[in-house]
Amino acid sequence: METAIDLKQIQARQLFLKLSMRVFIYAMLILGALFIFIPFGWTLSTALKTDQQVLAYPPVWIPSPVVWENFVKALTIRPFHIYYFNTFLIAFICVTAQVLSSSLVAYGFARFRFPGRNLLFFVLLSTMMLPSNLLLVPRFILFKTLGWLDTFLPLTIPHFFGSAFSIFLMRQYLMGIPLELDEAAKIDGAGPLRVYSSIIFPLVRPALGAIAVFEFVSVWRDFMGPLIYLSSEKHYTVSLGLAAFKSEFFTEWNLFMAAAVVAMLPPLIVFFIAQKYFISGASLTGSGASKG
Amino acid sequence: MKSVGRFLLVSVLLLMLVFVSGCAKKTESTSSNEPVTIRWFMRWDQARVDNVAKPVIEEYQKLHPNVTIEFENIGSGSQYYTKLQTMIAGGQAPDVFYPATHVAYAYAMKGAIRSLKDFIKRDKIDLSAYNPNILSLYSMNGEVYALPIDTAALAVFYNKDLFDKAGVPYPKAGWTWDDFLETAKALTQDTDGDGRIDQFGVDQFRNYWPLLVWSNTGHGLFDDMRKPTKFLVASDPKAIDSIQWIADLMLVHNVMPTDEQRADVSDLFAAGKSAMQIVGHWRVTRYLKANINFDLAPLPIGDFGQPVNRADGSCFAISSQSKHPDTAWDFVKFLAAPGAKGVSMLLDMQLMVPALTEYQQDPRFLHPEQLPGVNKAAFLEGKDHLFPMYDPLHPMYATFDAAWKQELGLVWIGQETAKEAVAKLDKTVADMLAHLKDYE
Repeated sequence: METAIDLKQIQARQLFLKLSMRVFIYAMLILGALFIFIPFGWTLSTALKTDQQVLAYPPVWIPSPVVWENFVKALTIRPFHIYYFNTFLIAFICVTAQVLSSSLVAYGFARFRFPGRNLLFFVLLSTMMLPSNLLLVPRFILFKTLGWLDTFLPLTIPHFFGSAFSIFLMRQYLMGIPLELDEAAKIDGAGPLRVYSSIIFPLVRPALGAIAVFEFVSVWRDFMGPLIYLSSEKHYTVSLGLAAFKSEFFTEWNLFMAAAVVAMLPPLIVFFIAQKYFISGASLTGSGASKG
Repeated sequence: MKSVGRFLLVSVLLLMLVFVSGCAKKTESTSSNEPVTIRWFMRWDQARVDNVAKPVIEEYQKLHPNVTIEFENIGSGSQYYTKLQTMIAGGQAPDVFYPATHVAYAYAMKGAIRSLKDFIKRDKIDLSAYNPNILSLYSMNGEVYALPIDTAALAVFYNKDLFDKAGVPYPKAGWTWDDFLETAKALTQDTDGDGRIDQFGVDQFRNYWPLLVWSNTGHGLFDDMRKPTKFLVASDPKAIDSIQWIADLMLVHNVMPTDEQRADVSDLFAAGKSAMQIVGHWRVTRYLKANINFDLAPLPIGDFGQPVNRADGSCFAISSQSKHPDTAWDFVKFLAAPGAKGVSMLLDMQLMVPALTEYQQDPRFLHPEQLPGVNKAAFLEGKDHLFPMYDPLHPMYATFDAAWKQELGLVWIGQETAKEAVAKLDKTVADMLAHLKDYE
């Protein structure tokens, strides 16, 4: 009898310890989350303020009155619907191009032995080491010579050639996929492209998801590219539209923040959609996705 | 100029290109009916774009049906220059652009801007319409290469309500920096008695420390702003004292907030938490928006005994790559020459101090409806002793700017005295002066 009670007590104590530990961990996580949300909270709060409250000191956290019109004003003062369309168009082309080209090139690097392979890979990686500012003017001259200024071409076409970072990522991921799968397909008579499309491409989806997200966010945030190559307003992207709220004499902080909140949404949504890919990728069997 | 490195790099490329292109000046066929397109690249805010740039273009195109003005605008300065430099280096320069004083000079030195000498002679432009101290900033070897439009003249903004509440008399013309300090002391208050100051006499203006140097010594920071050979601040005790005096506003008297006290508030004056603010005309609209009941006083007078002020501003320049310099010039004339439409429209915006003397006396500048009774003439004080804030005007400015910000940063927080910091700065600057050619 006694022992049973003892056991129960011990179990209860363990349960209590477990629970209190969990409560503590959650409290910590909530604190951390709040801390991370401060800048976003400030953005949102500023977006809802009147002109006078934006500059109030000490700073005001809860706007009064709450000016919801700031959002309407911010997005209609300039043709933001055009900017969004342009940015989505560029991002869609870039993501598609990057996913296809990076996985194809990485497949080549990971699965084929050919003379100069390592040298080529080294050259590819070394392109990552060049500061982009150094390439600014030569690239500009190149695209000017091609007659591509003030079009979306300089912002999209280069992405059809993959990028060193995503190719490297894909190659590492591919290294973790058992060669036996390729070989089985080859025995069944599949050529290299067939292996790529039927075996490799479906298996590397998690990595592709990651690349797509990185690519989307980087294109969405890109400011330098559109700044240099686009000049007519009908071609502007969201980042240029946002920058237009800031000028030397005064910045309309409330409108700027309202527009910024809206501009944050697409990358967020893309991230949540892609999360499914990450998770489904983790549950893939037979692929050593955790290697590399 | 956030990244000095990039600026230098692009400058070098610019230089190479100018050499390569050999400054090919194409002459324009002077028939005035051929269709011509001029690219005009600006860095204005939306208000000026909508109320000045667009109407100016409309009007000009009406008068010249064969001309199309392609307008492009980037609001923020640093991004503007990034794009401008890329365009110039890429042989895609806009015909007419809008550089700040020191940038214009650097571009003129590198041959990226066309001299206006022949045009001015041909069209008999009366240069006496400009304050000579201002115009000289846009001249090189006696040739004018850009037409100034405004100046970044400074004045003391003061909050009348806070003065009234404290029973402090308004500043009077001819007041000294000592008077300024006394006024600031009387207005620095801990209103809720918690031991922390809630209202400061003046908001931070320490980046304008050269103003105190001019005011107390009557000279600039270097012996020659175009070909500097000597750093005068280090050899003039009065200049060193001027820097210490600004630091003491924070550290000794605490009438100006330290960085901690300021806590990154963008503008204490607009929040009604500082009674005075030394700044330029561009803040007028912000303070009107914030419903601050303000007036303007001229800058206080220092040991030099004469009023001084700031000369630099913005100008319109024509690219040396322009294929239609005649049309570009005609448009620049329309914007900024004596009697020009462009400046005249800008006057109504309450954003700037015009560089043209005739417009400085214009009632639309001096007595605008939006600012009843406000002493706008305060910005015009010191017109006989104007200095550029970008000193030296030489391309080495960017490096010098970074150097003083680093050294004086320690003075502002009380870690070093002005004397110690300037001695260190002098060593750095001496090295720059010895290698002046590297910056050109």
